[in-house]
Amino acid sequence: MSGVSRAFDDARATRVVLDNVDFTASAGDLVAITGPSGSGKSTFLHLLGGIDIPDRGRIVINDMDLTSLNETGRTLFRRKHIGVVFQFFNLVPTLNVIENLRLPLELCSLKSDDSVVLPLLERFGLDHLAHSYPDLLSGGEQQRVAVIRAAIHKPSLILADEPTGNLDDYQGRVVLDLIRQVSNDGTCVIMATHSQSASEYADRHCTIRNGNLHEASQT
Amino acid sequence: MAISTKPRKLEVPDSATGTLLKIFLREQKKSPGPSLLTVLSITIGVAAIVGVDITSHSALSEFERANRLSSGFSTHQVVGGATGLDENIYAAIKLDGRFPDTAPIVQAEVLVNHGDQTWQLLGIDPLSDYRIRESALLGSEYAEQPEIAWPIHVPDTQIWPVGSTLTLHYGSQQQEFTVAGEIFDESGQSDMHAEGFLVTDIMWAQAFLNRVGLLTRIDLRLDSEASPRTLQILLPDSVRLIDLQTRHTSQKYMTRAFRTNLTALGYLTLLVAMFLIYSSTVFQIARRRGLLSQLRAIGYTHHEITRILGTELSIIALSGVSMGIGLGYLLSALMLGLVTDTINLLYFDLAHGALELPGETILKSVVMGLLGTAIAGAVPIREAGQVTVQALSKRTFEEGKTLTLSRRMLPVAICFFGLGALILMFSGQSLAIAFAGLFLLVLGPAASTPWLIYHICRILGPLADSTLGLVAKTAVINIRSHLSRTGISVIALSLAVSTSLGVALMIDSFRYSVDNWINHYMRSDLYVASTVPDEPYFSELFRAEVATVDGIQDTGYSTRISIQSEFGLHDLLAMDIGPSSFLGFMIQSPPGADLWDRFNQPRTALISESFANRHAVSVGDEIPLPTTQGDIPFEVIGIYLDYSSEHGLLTLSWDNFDRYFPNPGPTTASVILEPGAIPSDIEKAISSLESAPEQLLVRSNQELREQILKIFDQTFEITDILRWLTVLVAMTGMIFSLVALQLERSSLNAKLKAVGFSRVQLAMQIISETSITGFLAGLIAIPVGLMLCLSLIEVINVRSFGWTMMNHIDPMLVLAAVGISTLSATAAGIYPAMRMWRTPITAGLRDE
Repeated sequence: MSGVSRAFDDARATRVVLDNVDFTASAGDLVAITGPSGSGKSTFLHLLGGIDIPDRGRIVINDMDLTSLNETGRTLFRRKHIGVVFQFFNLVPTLNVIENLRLPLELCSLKSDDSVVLPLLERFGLDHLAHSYPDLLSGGEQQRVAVIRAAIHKPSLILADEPTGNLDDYQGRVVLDLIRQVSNDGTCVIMATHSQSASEYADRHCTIRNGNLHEASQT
Repeated sequence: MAISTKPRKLEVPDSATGTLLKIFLREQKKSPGPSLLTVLSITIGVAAIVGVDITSHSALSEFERANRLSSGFSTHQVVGGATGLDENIYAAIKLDGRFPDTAPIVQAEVLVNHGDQTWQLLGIDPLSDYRIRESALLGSEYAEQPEIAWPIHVPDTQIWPVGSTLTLHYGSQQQEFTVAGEIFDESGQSDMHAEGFLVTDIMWAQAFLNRVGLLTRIDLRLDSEASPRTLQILLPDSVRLIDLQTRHTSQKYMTRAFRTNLTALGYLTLLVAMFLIYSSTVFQIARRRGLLSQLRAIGYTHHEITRILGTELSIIALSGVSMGIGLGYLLSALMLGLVTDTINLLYFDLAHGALELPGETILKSVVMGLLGTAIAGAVPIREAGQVTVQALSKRTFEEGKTLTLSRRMLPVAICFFGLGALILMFSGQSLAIAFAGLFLLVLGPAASTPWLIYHICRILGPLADSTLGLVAKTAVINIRSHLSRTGISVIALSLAVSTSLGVALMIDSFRYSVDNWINHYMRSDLYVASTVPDEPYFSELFRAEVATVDGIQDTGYSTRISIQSEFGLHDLLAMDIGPSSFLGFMIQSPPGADLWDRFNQPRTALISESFANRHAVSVGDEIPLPTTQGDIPFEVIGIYLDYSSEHGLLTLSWDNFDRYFPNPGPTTASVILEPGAIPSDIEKAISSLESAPEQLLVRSNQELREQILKIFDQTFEITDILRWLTVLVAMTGMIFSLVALQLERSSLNAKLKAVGFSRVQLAMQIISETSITGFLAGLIAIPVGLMLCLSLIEVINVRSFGWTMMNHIDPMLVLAAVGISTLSATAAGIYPAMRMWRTPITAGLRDE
């Protein structure tokens, strides 16, 4: 991301959320983005995911300039190269766990039968929930399935917006462990969070304040 | 990884599309409410169109069939004479040699075995009739059974087997006939449609009907060589040659306005249904916002989502259309009887025919159903495709957008209204264009309804707070803040209620005008008519004897015939009345004129308002009428109000009628009694006169008046069915929307309970909210309904029927409209209130 700016017009004035931001991440990075409410964490993720477009600057992922693509092009790119985890509404309520996990594979025309999906569920200890529907899962279980679904088609980048914001400490830690494992498998994960304990899982810590992105330290 | 910067061709693997469809279909199974409403709306909308179409088509087919069966392939008919045609006229035509396709007919209405049903006895000459009706009309065995005495052919030998005996009644005559065979149509198959006809040889018919040497008519098939002009020369002045094509076209044209009105009501139901389709689609999309955002985040493009939602709506639409066709068919079974009865009452005799489902009706209903759904669903589905992923992080629906939209709809509403008014004013004589204008005129206020409700609630809020307290205030605020959910349903309800109110007020004004007209017109105490079939004429002797009856102050006589003039087929009324009865005419033009003297002068005529409006004829114009002396112009000396014939009535004095038309005598008498005379005594005295016809019908003023109003009410029964169907669609939609909204807010209700609201307060709030919504819809429907009523009275009715009527606004009808709207909305609040009552706070909060 280089020289990216994004502002929004509200009723009273134009609010600059990101101002000339530069940011780089590599495969396997787990980056935590923190900042006060309304600082632009979600906007930052939306721009990286091609969900939103910047007013200025370029966003390049895997040599692809997202800002040069139209809406459909960005969607097609996201389908293949990016996984997304949100705080709410992560799973399709009318599909069971296994069907939810198949969805990205089917979209990318990848093999999506049980031989692909079940081992993953077994690996993360969720195989007993394979045929359960989301409304029967706890919040933590739902988020873990969401993380697996975001990673199942092996995207280059996973964006997680407050993935533990709705969970208690224990469930939160289980989800973060899973995110850590996905990152260790070589996927770049960028996670927006309010939680201090969540950010502790990250390799890199960035803060957005007054439209600027500051990287604090690298472990 | 190298990826092209150009957008790639959109390709979704089949499995992903299948999964997407699976997601939506499972969701349908889980929460079928909105889709069921869509299906129901399409079903009823399509059913109304199909019902009207089938009914109209079946009635017209029956008309064509009856004509075909009765007239065969004849192009012309020779008719005339007070008691029928002399047989010698037929002989003269035959002998001329230029008219080989000629057949004599004797026809009369008869009763069978003392039954109630009237049958048409057709006496034909088999040796010549095959040229007109083809020989198959009679079973081939007909000629082979000459030994049977009084043979007759019937429509169905399963009911009346060959060899069985039928007793036919005609007036006082009765005769036993032997069933000789079945009537066949020209295709050689048993003709179920021939129901209502009995066929026998002309000689038996003449003998039975006491018409030896006389014919009812002569059917002819004329071509360019055997032209009407050459035939006319052979005919005496007293008989007429009728062009059947022209007559049938005129008869069909007569029912045009009636059929157009029904069709318009059918389309109106679909229009109301379209609002509900829109409403339920919006609701569906709003409910799926989270899901759609998630799918967009995963990588479904907006085209893919739009396509799948479109497919889903198409499936729903097809289900609705299929069920609509079925329901429409059932509805038409109910409506056909009413339509046929109405046509019988108002236009011409028509038997109850079989229902037909023509291919074009199916095609039309499929096209209209799918098109209506596509138009109603296009905008919400397009918006659904454009749901952003960011919407996932927002948990509240953007009501602000609805308000903005409602504001933007205001200029559209004004345009609709203005355009509708202009079209209505300048639509000429076209009923279809006038109805299009009327639709726009009604759609205008409908489009401004959400904006109106928002602003009415802004005013009502503080008022409710200061007068009714917190519960009422919260209810009003809730209505204002959930316009996106309720707005469209309120439009649909308001549209349906306003239409219903407009039509009801129009019918009431019409009834009021007719009642007023009857009061003015019917000044006599007794009305006497002969019911002898085909010869309902009073003799001179009867008239003389009536004049001697004690207690009668004055008697007027009249007769009414149908004539085919250059204005088409219309009625002619001849009146032999005194000046006091003439006062019953409500003369409209020239105003204040005393026309009595001029009415009795030669070649003068009065015309009804509908005649004047339909044919653009004014006072002073001359109208040529086909008299026994050829076409003779009559001067129009006045135009009067009349509701007895929508295709126009022309009135002549008895002297004029006697001089220019074949006059076998009057058919009705109106009797004014002397003060103190007892009507039943006079009735008995008239009936017992020696010269009185055998079948005499004497009715009091009151009886006749009641009968006319009963007929009037009967003619609007079908309108009422369609009107209530429209209201039913809207009420269902309204109830659904309000129930859905309230259920959606169960967690909010739990929170309110948690902060101290009592169950009674919350129940009151829910019911107040739905009641106020319905009340507002009803309130908005009042001016729209009044405007609609005015348009129907001043424009549509004048174009359809040619008559004007008084505006009569019955406050009870207005109150009833608001009441229906309020009650249906109140009913919608009961279930959510009960549910809220039963739901523990904890369960409600868990929903959050």
